[in-house]
Amino acid sequence: MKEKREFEILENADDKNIDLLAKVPVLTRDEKDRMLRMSRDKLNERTKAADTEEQVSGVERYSRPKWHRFVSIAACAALVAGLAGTAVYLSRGKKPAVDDPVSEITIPADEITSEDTDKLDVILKDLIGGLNELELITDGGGVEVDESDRLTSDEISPDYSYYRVTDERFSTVDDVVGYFRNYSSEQMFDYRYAMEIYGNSGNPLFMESDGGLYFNKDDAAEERARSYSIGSSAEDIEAVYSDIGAYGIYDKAIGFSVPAYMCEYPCRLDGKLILEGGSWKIEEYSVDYLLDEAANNVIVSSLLFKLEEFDMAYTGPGVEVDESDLRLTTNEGGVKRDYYRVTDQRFGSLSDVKDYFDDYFTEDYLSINSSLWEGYGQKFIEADGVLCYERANTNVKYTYISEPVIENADETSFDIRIVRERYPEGFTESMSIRCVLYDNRWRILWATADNSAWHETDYLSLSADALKSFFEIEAVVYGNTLGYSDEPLVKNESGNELTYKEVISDKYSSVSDIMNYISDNCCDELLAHYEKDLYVDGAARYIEEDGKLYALDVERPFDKALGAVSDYETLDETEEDFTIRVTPSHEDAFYINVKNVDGEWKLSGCSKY
Amino acid sequence: MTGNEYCALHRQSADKAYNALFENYCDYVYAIVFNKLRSTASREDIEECVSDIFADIFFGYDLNSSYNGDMKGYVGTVAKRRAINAYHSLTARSGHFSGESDDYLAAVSSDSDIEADHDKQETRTLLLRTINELGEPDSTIILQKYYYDRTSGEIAELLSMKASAVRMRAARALDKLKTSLSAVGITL
Repeated sequence: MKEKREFEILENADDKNIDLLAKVPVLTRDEKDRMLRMSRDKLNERTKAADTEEQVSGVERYSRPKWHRFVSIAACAALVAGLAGTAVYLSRGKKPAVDDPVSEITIPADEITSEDTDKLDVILKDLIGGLNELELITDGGGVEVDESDRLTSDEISPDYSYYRVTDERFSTVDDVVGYFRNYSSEQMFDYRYAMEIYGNSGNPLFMESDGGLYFNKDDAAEERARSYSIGSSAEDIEAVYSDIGAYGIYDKAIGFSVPAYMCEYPCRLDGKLILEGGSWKIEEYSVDYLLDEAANNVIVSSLLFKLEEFDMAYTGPGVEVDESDLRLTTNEGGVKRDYYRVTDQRFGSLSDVKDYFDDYFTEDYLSINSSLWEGYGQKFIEADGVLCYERANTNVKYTYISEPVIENADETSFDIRIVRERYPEGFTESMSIRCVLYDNRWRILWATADNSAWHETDYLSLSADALKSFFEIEAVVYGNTLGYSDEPLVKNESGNELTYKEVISDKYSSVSDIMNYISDNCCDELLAHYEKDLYVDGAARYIEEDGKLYALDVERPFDKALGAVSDYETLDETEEDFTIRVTPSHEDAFYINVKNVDGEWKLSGCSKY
Repeated sequence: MTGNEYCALHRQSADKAYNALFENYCDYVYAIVFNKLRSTASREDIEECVSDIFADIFFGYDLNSSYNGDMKGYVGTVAKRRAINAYHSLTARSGHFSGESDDYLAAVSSDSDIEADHDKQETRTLLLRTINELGEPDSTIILQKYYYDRTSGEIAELLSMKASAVRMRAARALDKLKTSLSAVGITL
């Protein structure tokens, strides 16, 4: 194989180059474990021998294990012969999809006219169809075998399954090479397929033994291949030749650019055909997933949609439940969780939850976020065979508010940058989402949210709202700014005469109005403080009588207008809480604490320090 | 890992010491062995040789030694010796005497090829540097595929990629590499 011979220069390298080569990750965990086991076994043997006083020679005889090389060398020679210039055509077995179009085009590329492009379309369809087959075979599928005739011997690693080929196309490795060379140029075959077919020293794709041909079958290959087809059906492909010269003709090759499908993803297939040995072959190809049209791209939109669904299921009210059907309550680490029966059509069982997201996220992503369905704080749980969900006491929602921008794109990965807004807080997050092509599907590998901008802007608007609420509450509890009528209401409480005035206010017409406003804007601990202060020496500041609201006529020193002239700044901002430092003119500064409670910002304290 | 660290770990638990030593130097030893036996031995032979080397070290390292330096030098020396022995053993059995063998004998017998060796090392260094400049994962794919003889499927599994994607990248990377090398007068 040409490439293997080229890199022979790297053999017998010096220490410096060995160090560089050692940095290339090449060994799998299984291989390392195997070698370590072998080392330990040898050590045990030597130790036993030493213990029984057998002398172990300082120079160990290297005993070659029973592995032997397969037919790679012989096959190599055949390949060299095949590359000597003669075209290798399929001589038996399966015919191409189109009745031998090859012979219809025999003129050199630079003499092709427009009348020939129809024929080239046919050729291209056939070649792309062939390409699919070559990829499938190389992955370990697409070859008929007799699974009752498995090649077993000490020479074959148990990791591989070699079955006798019954496929009428292939009787020898030469036949396989010939079949591959029917569709791929010499260069493409050498680059992509030669290594796999011949293998290195242990696991070629095909091997000849006992007068028969055996194939290293991978049972999963067919499953993968069903969703992997470059190109749509033959009737739909319309080749568009690249615009280099009249028909993309350059250097005895023709460029092509074809609308195609990879799984269900529309894409474009770009490549080059060359005329080799009298027939057209694919020289190279690449797949473009059309990510430059990110806003209309089905890959991008489906991934973004799934991410939104996942986050909604994770943090917000993303799952429909029957809120009257509480099935389970848990208490872990002092945290109480209520689980309601799921009515959401997407999920019928716990395994449905993971399966639903399985096609759109990598295993790594799902593993990191597995608390959606398992472990501490899991959102989904099964109770007596019924799927239940911890209905969040929040209404957090996300909305994308910018067009997606694609960065760092190549054939197997790309990044999406997009901005989303989180409701109800209203802050924005700049998202960075890494997507990879894995197992024939585009999946999200990770997603991060950068809301550092939020720290600069939204805290200010949150502070403004928090201060407004603070001063309103202070005024209601301690101030004297509500309107009052002049008619007093005198009450006698435990021998004390208390005077009340009727409250005239559009905002507050009952005691519960006042309490609701305070509780809506305060955490529990601050609410308790205000509830206490709504009594003065045992007398309630507010009472209701005959459907009217009355306020206790006591001195109320708090000046709500103070808030209007105060200067303020935010301190110690986190996603959980922050502090507002208020600096009234002619007064000492004081501090107001604000806390995030289930997605809502509420006052949590006030102090001079 | 230093000699003292190995010995101290061995005193706690021989198993832990062996495992730690192996994890530290397995890739290095494999690189040495593969570099020597690549053209003459199967993958299984190479694994056998690597396991022999570690068995040598586990069995032969003086646990009373007070050596506090990096064990890499010791490990490397044992590895090279074993790899050379294995090479000669394999080539003798197959009756094959490669150019490498001739180089080795010539190098042992005289220093007349030092200049040629030096040129080769320079070329190797340049090749590896140019491969490295391809960036990841292409540089890893190129070396795994064309030097370490791994299949696309094996590389795909290691790098969490699809085999066809590995093939695609390998083909392109090789093209790029050839272009870069020809610019400095090296033809692949």
